[in-house]
Amino acid sequence: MLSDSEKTQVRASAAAASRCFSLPFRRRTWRGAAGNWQGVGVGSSLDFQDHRAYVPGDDPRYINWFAYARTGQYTMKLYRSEISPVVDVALDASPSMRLVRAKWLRAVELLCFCMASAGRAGASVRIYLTGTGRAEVFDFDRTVSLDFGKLPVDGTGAGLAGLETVPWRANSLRVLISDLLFPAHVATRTAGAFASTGFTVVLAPWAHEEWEPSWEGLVELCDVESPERRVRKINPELLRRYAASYSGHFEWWRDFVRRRHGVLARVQADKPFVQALRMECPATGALEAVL
Amino acid sequence: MIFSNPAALWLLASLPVLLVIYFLQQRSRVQRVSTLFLLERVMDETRGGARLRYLRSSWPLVLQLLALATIGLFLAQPVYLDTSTRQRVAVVLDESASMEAFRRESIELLRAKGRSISAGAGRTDWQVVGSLRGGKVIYSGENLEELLAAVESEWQPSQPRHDATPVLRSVRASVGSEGHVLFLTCRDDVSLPGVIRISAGRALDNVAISGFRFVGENNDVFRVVLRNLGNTPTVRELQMRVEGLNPTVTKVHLESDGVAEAAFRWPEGEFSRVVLELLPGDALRLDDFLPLVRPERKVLKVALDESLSSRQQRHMIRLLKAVPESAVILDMPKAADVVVRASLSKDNESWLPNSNELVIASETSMKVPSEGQPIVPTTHPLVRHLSFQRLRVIEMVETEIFPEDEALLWSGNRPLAFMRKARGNSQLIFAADPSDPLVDDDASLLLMLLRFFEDIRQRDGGWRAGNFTAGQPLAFGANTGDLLLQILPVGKPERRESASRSFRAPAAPSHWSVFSDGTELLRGTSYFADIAASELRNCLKLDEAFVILNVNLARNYKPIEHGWAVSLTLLVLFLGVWFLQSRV
Repeated sequence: MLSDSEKTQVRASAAAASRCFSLPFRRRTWRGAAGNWQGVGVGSSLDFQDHRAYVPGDDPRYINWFAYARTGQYTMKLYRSEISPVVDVALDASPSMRLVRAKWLRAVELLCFCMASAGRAGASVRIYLTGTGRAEVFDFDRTVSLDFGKLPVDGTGAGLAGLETVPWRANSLRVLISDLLFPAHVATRTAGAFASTGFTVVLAPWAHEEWEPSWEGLVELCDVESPERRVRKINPELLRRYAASYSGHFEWWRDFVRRRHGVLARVQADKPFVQALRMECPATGALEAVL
Repeated sequence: MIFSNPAALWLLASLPVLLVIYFLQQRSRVQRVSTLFLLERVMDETRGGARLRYLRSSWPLVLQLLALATIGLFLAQPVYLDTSTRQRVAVVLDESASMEAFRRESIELLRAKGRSISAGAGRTDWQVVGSLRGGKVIYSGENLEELLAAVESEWQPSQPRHDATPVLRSVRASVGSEGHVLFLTCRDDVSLPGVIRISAGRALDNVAISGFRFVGENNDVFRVVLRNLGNTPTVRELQMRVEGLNPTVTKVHLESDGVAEAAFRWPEGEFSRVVLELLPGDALRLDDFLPLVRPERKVLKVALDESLSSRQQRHMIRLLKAVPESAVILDMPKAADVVVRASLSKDNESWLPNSNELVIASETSMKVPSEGQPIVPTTHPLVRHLSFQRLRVIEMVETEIFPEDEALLWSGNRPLAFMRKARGNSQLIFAADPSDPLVDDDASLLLMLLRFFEDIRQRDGGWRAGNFTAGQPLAFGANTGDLLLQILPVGKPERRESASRSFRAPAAPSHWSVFSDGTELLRGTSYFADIAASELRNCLKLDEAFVILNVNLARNYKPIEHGWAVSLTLLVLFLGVWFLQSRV
């Protein structure tokens, strides 16, 4: 559970970031309720879309009367519709996300940022909490106020438990906030998030100590998501191989997300939020700069 | 290779201690991780034995272990056997019956000690003898297994307690100063310099049949004496077995160190053999059996030679009535055990006896008075503790005594009675006439003659049927033909063996008979009745073989030359291998 000062800090940094970056609403056209964003259908925006001959049943409001005056033919002047996007955010609340405090704060900041960015765009937002079994719908206040220590643990160590049960809305912008620290075969649980009617952004917070851990000597390693324990002698050579494996793991995820037309951006937890967003998010298209 | 100071190898026991200390110092830290699956990807080949791998890579520990092990090995002083060395080992086996109680353990102890002693020299010359003086050599050779097989088959300890010192001294002298003498016993009552004792004995309680006696006119009742050689009271059953009859059982209660008696009636009918057995049996079984026959003395046949006058014959017949189980025969002197004749002259060179004889002066021989000289008896058993002063008035024949003769009585410087032995026969020569009215009723003279007759009877077995202690010496007269001994040990099959005229009763509890030319001369039994050997409470374990091992270590083993150089080389080699392994 976040303290009040942490909540305040998280909200402030997310608000600051939302002034610099936004979710990638401009990346594509949207379907949905009327709003400020260009839709795929005909609407009442100022953006001209097409001319065509009038056919019975057309809305007479879109008849181009100037053209009728010149030609005597009913011609329809069509404009693009303006709609409000739909944003579904899934926050992975598995124990691995909460192992490092800075990483969990960064995840909450990302959630807060998504809320702020969606709010600026007038989008409808739903928050789902995964990683604890079945996905649940949460609001932000409830999310940040939750005592995660009391959440049930999946116990399988598979990660993203319950993600497959998230009811992704059609044509929504889907944001998955997860550290992705689970074996590759669990990626099948993300199939719903990458369905063709939406666009998926994966924001992966990470902490530096996960990449370069300070383990040394004889260490009993306890997995936070399963009862597994291993006693290992940790030496520099092993750490080097571990780091390579860690990097390879995220390369695999980048490739996995790219193949499904999504975007993956890793967000470092050990740097200021805006600076961390700036490192990867704009370049990968996970976020857009605010004009 | 062995170690002359093996106690130093205890230093190697500190290696695990060092490891434990190292483990305790290197206890693992607990670390919660979220990326265990990534670690396992790169650690698949090291899944097992993480602590061991940790030790392998801990070179200070490896160095410490190596240093400790090397120090321990060299403090232990490794030495190797010089195969050109040779040792002589004589083993004296205690043949006391008490060893029977520990026979199996004793042979196993001999096997173990024999192996370690054999390993102490390039070659070992073994000699095994029994502890009885004059006993045969059980084994002589170099093969320990053959030695053990010989001991297994031929060592039957069944003798009474005896002093093994003469045999030990003899063997000690025969093996020389460089040899070893090993005495396999069960007690520590013999201690001689240069004799190494080993014993597999231990203090045990024992109940023994310690004796018996026949009572009644016809020996129809016998009483058996039992003794508890133990520290706790006990109840035993004494079972009487007769072939063809149901066993008779009598319960006997025995206090600690107590004695009890049980009476049995000899079975009616023609039963000649009885076996008593103490049940339940204990460690020493020899004294749990008592085979018996009803004792029957041999009839002493005395022939009166024609040379005796009628007065002398009457006198001798009257005298022989005082000899139990005796008979006078007049017409068959060759079948007699003793011949009494009267033919004595001054020249007695032709008197060499052809049979056991009592020779007295004939009535007609020239006699002279003894002139009142005192009659002096010698220490001969026939005249011991007897007084012959009444014979001072006797008339005697002047006769000559040979140096080989055993004088019995002297009258001044003249022999009055002496014993002459030749061809296995005995001749008692009395240089006077025992029927002389002057000495007719002399008790001492009568006793001397009775002792002579009994001596003759005993020399020919004495008994027609009797019970003898195991190993008791027995003898038959010189006129007896070849002897055949038929032995029926208790609980074992019958066997037959030839015997000399002087033999010992079989050692094992048994019934037996002595035959000569198909005639049964003696029917007897052997029973064990040596309380000293039955006493097992003073038995104990002994192991002095380390003396031989130490002597061999000093004599036959050599230290490894340039040992420190070898160890240094080994150490460098170990370090090199470790270094190469760590590089790979």
